[in-house]
Amino acid sequence: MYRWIFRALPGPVWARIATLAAAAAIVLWGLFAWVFPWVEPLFSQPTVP
Amino acid sequence: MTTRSPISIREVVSDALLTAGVLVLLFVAWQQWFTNVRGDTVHQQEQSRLLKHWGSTLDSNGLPESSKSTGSHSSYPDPVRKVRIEALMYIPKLRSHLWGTPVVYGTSLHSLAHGVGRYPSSPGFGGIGNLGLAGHRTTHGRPFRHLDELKRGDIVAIRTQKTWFIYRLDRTTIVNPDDGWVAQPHPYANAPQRMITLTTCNPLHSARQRLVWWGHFVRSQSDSSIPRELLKGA
Repeated sequence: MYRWIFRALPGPVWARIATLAAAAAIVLWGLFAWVFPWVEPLFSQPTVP
Repeated sequence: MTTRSPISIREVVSDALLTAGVLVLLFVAWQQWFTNVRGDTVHQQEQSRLLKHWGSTLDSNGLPESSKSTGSHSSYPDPVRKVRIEALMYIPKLRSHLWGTPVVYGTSLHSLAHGVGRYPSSPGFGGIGNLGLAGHRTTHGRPFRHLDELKRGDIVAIRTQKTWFIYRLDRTTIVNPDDGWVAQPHPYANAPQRMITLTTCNPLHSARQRLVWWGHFVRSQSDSSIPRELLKGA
């Protein structure tokens, strides 16, 4: 899958690597800013009711 | 001429499993590392906002000077972050970890990401009843990380705009997560009328139990002087 995406990207190898790195950074930011905070209550609550 | 399949089922499955593994590792890194880095910064920012609201600054021991503000509301309702900062918390025994930590209203995960949370059903600081405070043990700045190192007789000090409130710890216990009675008034026989309850997760890196500390109210004093219990640990 990732191999296919890499091959489908236009440009030379360095441009594809840069594009994938940028995409990974955006995904990482989305995970840290939105997805993980949304998921966390399922695993963590340090209070008593 | 041969044609090559662009993608195989096997490759998709292996990449999906690899992605799932990376996501789990990233979540652990976010929760155990990133939330603490972020939490330390957030706690400092909230402390600064509250001190500014009070018209106060920290002295060389990290203790607030007398408030110069004449405002009647000692808590700071932060409209941007949607959290109300009420006080600062000091435990001399844990000076390097819990010294000027913000106390916020409420114990939702959002509130606890900004400091130690006061249970909404609790009385005000120094009031009659059980002042319940909850804090994270391993994430979001981990203010209660070292709660297990406290001993009977250790001091907990709360600073509001104009007043210091001093509590002394009496006893500890470990309970189940749904044992809400620990933060209710009179949680045990002969419990003091004015008391404090600290709760956090137990054991480390687990939410399986709750570590609880109970203490009694000692006294309050004006913000014009530093409590001697804090000077002793300074």
